[in-house]
Amino acid sequence: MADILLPEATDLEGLQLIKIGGTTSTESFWRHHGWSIRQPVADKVVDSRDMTDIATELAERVGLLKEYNAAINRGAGGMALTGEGFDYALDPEVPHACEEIWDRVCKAASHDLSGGSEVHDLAWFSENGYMLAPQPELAWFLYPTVKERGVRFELPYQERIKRHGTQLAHRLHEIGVTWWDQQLEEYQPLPPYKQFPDIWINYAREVGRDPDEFPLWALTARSMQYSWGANVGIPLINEVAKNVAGHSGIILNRATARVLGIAEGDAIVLESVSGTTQGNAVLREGIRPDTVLMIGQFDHWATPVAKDLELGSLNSLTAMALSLTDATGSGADIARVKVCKAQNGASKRTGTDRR
Amino acid sequence: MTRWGMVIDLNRCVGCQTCVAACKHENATPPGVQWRTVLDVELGTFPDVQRLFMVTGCQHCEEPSCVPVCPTGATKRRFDGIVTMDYDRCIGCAACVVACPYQARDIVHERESYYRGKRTAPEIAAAHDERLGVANKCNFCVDRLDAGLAAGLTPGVDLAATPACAASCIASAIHFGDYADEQSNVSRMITDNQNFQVHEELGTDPQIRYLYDLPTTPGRDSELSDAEAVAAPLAGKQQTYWDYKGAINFVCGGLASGFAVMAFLLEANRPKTSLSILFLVAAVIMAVGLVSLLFKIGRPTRALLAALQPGTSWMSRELWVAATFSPLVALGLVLPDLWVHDALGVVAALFLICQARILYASKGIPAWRAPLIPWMLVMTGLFEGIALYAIVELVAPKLAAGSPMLLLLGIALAITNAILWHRYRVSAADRGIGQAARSAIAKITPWLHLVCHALPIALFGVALFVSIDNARILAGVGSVAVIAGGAGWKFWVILRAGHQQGFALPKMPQRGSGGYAAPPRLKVA
Repeated sequence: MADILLPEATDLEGLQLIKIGGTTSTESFWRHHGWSIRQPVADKVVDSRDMTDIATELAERVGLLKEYNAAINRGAGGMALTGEGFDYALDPEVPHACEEIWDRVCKAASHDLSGGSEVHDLAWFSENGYMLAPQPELAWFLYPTVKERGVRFELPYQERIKRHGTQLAHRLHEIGVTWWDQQLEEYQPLPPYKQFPDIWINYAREVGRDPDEFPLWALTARSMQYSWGANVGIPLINEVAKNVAGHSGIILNRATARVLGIAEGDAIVLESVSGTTQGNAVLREGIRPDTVLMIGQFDHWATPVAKDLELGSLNSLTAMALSLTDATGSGADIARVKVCKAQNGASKRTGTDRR
Repeated sequence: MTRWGMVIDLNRCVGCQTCVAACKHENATPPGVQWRTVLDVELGTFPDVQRLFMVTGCQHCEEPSCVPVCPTGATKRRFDGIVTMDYDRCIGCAACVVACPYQARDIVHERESYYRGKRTAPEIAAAHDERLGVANKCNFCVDRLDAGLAAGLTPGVDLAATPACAASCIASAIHFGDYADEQSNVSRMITDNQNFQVHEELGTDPQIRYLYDLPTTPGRDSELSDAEAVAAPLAGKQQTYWDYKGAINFVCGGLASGFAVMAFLLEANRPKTSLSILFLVAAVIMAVGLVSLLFKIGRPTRALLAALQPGTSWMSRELWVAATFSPLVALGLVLPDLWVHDALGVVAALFLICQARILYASKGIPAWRAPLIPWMLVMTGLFEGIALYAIVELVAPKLAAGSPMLLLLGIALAITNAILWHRYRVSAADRGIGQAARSAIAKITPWLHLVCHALPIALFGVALFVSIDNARILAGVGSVAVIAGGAGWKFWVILRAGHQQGFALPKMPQRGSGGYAAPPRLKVA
């Protein structure tokens, strides 16, 4: 049944060369860096396709094959296929099989890692699993690289930010865009503290509501077990995740719950100015009395297992509003809410149904 | 000599549950069964709150309370200290489950799937049907360990020979090694660091030791409040392994054996034939209890294997005694004048003692391991025996002869049982019985004293001064109350006060918020 998009091979069925360690934008305190292979270790359960083949076919069908191959040659697969002393570039004019693409990446990566003394193909990585090279401790940190390349230290005065803001303001105003002016004010070289809570408190007034209606802060947190949601469809992970408080509901301060007449496990409703979400109360002491916390955002999932978690989600509470959007075009994962027991006594999602 | 064990560093565990997932993967445990688990422990009140993650599982005790209670020998302690399970030998009686003070054992009766009843290909491939209906628990990945040793690897050092939980720990919080080797990783860790064993006071000498201090930061004494000690996840839950069918065995067994003992004592001067019939009644009641038990165990077809460990298991001994009692009853019916009745009296007493010791041997249930429990079971059995004798006298006067002695003995046993229950209740906290179980015990106390003690004392007392016919009626009514009360408290203690031993944290790492944010010596005045 596999056509183009779905189903995609799972992690255990697919092929990919993955970078190990290395300090570039983040620091990694490892004594080695290199490459490791993720390769099929299980037969495909259904007629699925590797993501690489899916991407290649999509590129070909929409007429972007040349650009697609060029991107891979530039390093879209994690390693540029051409570099100092090596050229394993793909022919940009024709589609390439998944194995061919990763074979080139393997050769380029091993060449780069060894300075050309060891060049290994996909078969070698499949057999050996990984290839490492020593990483000096100095390379653990960004500082030596910044120093070596003569990159200017801007902190604490970030003149670049100010400059970019000014340039952006000019461009926007030239075309008559003024609705970003509030955000443009945030391009400051030395930003002062502002009353951040007021941004969300005042938003209730903006939409004609009384801020006192929403006395609590709703926050969200990532789940180590669900790994950004990647594991959320695996019931075994769901089982072990429940060993950690909050994976079966919405965390609420015990004293606050007492005031609201909420007991452990009660179905509760969180309501913000823009939506509602539901879950079962998980009472804890290690959370501020004015705060509720939802782990992950899973109420919009439509895939098996995940769609039945019945956990509350901040996604259903946050508003898409310019006044809550910062200069990066994003905003904090936060909302003002009121909390009460669910009338129907059962945990259900009643927010916008996006399933 | 080798002694495998673990060190858990409470300061290092981040609660990621990788060890739990690794264990489930390595051992293909079914949904809900976690041989290795990690508790999310929160103590205190906002803003003074401590939180830590506590890795638990089978402690592979030096003196495991699960081993001697096993009636089949399925649970053993290996030469290297690992407590293992022989699934093909286990009958699923759950004696080991209720004997474990670390909530380390499970019994799963049905094939289960993570995917709503439909088993996936991997689940079918990794199925362990031999584990259905029998006890299962952590075995320190013994197959992995043995294979590693055979390949010349060092468990605890070489990951391929190390239990999956320790090998997978992302924070180096779980360490596995040989405590018998003074230079091993685990030996050096407990030499160089403060550590504790969970429930050291129970004498099991668990081989998982917990580190709680840091070189710069000592640990602190635990300050668990009563509320915290009874709150999840530290508190033990009501056990569900011995259900009403298991309780019926204690009810019927106590009643039958107590009746046989009392009939033997009270019928000393009566025709032997009537005593033979009374013993037959006892045997039937005893059989009802044992058959009920047969429906409870996970592998009833293997029930006879329960006779294999009479050297250590009171359950085995009970089976042997029961197997002796019934043929002797039959023999007594045929040859009532022989020594058989004397033997039956002794065997019945032994049966009563076996039952008392079975419950007492359940070290994982504080309300059952209380020292008064065996005395309570024996005295209740005798009391019930007198009661049943009085009922027989009421309905079949030819079989049993009442006497003031019976009534006086009944009053004495009522007083004795009342005192024993009172002492049991008031000493519960000191005996480590948790709040939930104590509440259950307190809840039944007034009813028990009223129905099983006060009412029989009153009725038996009045019966001493009325005509023989009225005395039989009064004694009969009082006896029904005695038997109902005896059955009631046994059911109650097993099904309502049978909370598993909770987890203890005698020492805590320095961590938390508010007043726990820093050790006292670092606090700013």
